[in-house]
Amino acid sequence: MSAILSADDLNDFISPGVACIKPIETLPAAPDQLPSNSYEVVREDKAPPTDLPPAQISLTDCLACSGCVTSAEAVLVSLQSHNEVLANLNAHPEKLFIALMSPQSKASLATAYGVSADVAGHMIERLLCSPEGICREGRGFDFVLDTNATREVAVRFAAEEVVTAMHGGRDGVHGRKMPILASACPGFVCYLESTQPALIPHLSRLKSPQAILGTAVKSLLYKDVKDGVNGIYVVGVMPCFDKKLEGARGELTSGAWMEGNEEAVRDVDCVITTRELISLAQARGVDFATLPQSTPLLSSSNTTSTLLQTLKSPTKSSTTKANPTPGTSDGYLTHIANHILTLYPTSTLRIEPGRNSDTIDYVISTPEKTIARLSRCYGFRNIQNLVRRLKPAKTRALPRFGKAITLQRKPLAAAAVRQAGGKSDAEYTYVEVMACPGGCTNGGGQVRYDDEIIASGLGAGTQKEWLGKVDEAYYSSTEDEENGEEGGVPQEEWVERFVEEWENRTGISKDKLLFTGYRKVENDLGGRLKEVSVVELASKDGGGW
Amino acid sequence: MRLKKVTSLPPQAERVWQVAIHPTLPLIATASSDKTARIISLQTYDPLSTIEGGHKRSIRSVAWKPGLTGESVLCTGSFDATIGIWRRYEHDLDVRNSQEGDEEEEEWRFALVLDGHESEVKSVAWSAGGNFLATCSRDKTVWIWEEIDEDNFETLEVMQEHTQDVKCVAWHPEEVLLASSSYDNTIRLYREGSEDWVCCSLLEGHTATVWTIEFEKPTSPGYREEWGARLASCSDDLSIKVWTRISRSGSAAEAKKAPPSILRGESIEENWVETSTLPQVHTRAIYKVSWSSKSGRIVSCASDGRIVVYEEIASVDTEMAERDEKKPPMTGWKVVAEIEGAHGVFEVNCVQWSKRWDKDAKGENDEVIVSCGDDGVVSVWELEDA
Repeated sequence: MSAILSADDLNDFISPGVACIKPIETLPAAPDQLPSNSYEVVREDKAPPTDLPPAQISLTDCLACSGCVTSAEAVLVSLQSHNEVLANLNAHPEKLFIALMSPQSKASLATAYGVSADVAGHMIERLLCSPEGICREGRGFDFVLDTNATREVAVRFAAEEVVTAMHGGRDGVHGRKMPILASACPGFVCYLESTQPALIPHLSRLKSPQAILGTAVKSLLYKDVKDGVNGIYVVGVMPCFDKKLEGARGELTSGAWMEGNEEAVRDVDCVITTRELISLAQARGVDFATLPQSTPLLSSSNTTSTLLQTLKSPTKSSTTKANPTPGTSDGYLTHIANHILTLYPTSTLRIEPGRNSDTIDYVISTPEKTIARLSRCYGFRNIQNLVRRLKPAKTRALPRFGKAITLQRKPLAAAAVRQAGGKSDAEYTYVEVMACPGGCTNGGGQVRYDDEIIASGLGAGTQKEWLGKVDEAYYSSTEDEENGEEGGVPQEEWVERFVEEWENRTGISKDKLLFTGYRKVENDLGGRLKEVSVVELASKDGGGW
Repeated sequence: MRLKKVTSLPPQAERVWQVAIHPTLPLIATASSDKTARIISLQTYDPLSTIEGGHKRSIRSVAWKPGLTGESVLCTGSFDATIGIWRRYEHDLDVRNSQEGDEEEEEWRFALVLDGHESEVKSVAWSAGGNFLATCSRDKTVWIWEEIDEDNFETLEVMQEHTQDVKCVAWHPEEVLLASSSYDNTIRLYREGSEDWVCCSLLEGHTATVWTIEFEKPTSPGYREEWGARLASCSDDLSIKVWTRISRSGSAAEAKKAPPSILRGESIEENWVETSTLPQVHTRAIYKVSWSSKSGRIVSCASDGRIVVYEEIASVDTEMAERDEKKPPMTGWKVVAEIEGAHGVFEVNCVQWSKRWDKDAKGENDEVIVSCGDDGVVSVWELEDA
């Protein structure tokens, strides 16, 4: 999780390969013929080769193994970096290059360079697509798309998913378990998959805005591009490192939606962080601060680009308009709350602050009863509390505790009281979970308060103050959109039209385009290690007892 | 002075890591590799009951919850990465001597397990009022829990400042101030900020693992109001150090005025300096120091099998006081007693001062030292004038 693991934490590297299965798998087989004569001297030229090829470990291997969850971070940093993007630009100039920009990344750069988020968006477009930017030293990008558009799609269908599940009862359709937990944060998804698999059925099946946009780009364009899906290279620019993990998920590839036996290609080929975007500029000798601040005029003559206009279509965000506190993580909670409120005309919303600013409850009720309880839960400590309460009671208090079990009168009574009165967590309908305290604007891949790139006079004394500025830029961006763009269609209507058109053009149902699945990450070797040699590991790694 | 053994209890099946003295009752709890915690009477030195069946691996640490009457709550931290909470009513404690002791064993009720740590839990500690529970682990984190209602704990904070295995957590006797020590050779102090817990001080000086830390008690004779409670630490570098707070840059009250924060970084920093290094006697890693609340003496035990008792030399360093009145005096310590092979050839894992409760107790201020070792034995020692 980005809050826990960021690039700064790479010294957290638990000696790679302690539980990594990959080197074992790729070890070359030992030579068959052993010297028949035990006195035979092994001559140098017959000695077993010592220059074995280094074991290749890809990010997908790491996701499958999780033998060293923390070091997976290190691997992904090297496998999906701005250098990787540059290498692809140089090696495959014939491909179509498309960048996906998250609003949190724009807010971070806007704050660092003292411009508005929208201007930052224009500058990013200049950087990636125009001769003032990286194109002056070679191939650049063809398009920059905002994930804002697909965020509207995501919150719309998230609301639908929640309402469907509410009506389907506690264990209703698709075996859904309540509450539904947001799945947009890849850090949280990875955490559940590897350490809390029992809670996977709670995860929203909806893809994240990045994943939806990646699928949209590839599925809408591949037929018009030479080499099909292989001819498009999609780069996400995201606030956190864990989005790289999302990009590498086996579930989020063309295999999920494309017919035929072609080799599956990732929907988002590479993800770089906000900060890495600046590294990309520097690598091509571009100073981001000096880029023109106006919208670049792109030649948009070919069919590809007109198709993309669909995705660039301005949208009005009802989420931000109706509620001043949508949160910094795309506003799932507030949108779903608003949606439920419109379904129950007599219902009202009550907001209950939590223990800290990273947790808050939205309770929707009519005079008669409570209809839904939604919650926001950011940061590892709050996630721990959430996870603990969602676990079945019997795993919380282990059974078979020897003699102790015979006398459980009081704890049982206490449990009964908890269930009877007040808010048991089973009552929650939806939880917007994000791994980072402060939400996505505080992602591990954002520009930090003490970064050297921050223009002079714009810095802040602490990360807290800095984050306040970034949040301001994040919220102001959506306001500008409402005022600025001419003749935008209402968001709900646009989403409907877009998804319909998307289905029509591709002939693929939205079930395949918008939804995904999760799986428990197994690690047999790790399990065995825990049993057998944890003592040895302890003495090696932590300096003994 | 010399250390004289009062008694030794029959050994447990495997090594005993730690002993914890009940805050008000004459009880010892042990933490053992045999996955049990044993409760021992400090009046008769008889084993009273055994807590078992809750943990899959060694119990490494035990802590009695303070501030309770009528009930005892014991927290166990285990190498199985979990923390257990156990309860027992104490209303029939007085009956214990007359009644059969076997049924006593039935009395401990397992209340709940706290999980979340990724690997071995090394130490558990309750805050002075019992409001907060701190735990630390080989996963390099320090967790703070709060019991929001009975048997319902919430994670208040997960702190990850240490770069290595965290060996010990200890609370200040009066303030809401937590200390942790680590294999990364450092000690860190934490306070509750306006919303989050923040690391408010980093104590560097040891050159190897800091095994345990313990605050001075306000009732100790060496306690000086103007400096507040000091902190003792012991290390693999064979040294025992005493640290004193010289300044606090911001009070908790000040921090409360700041706007609500979602991040750490409030400035409630504290400055602690090393004011003593105790005479070096141990020849191998020092595992535990305990600071007497009655005599102000410090006792230490180590991998070398020794138990050593130190006493502060009362004289104030006048030279220092002249130069800067705001600096706490450097104080000297002398060795007043030591014993080799306290647990035979085995390492001594823990020593702890306790009020003396047995029939030979000479008044309220009489003390004993309780020790435990790799031999699974718990021993009780008295300090007698030679």
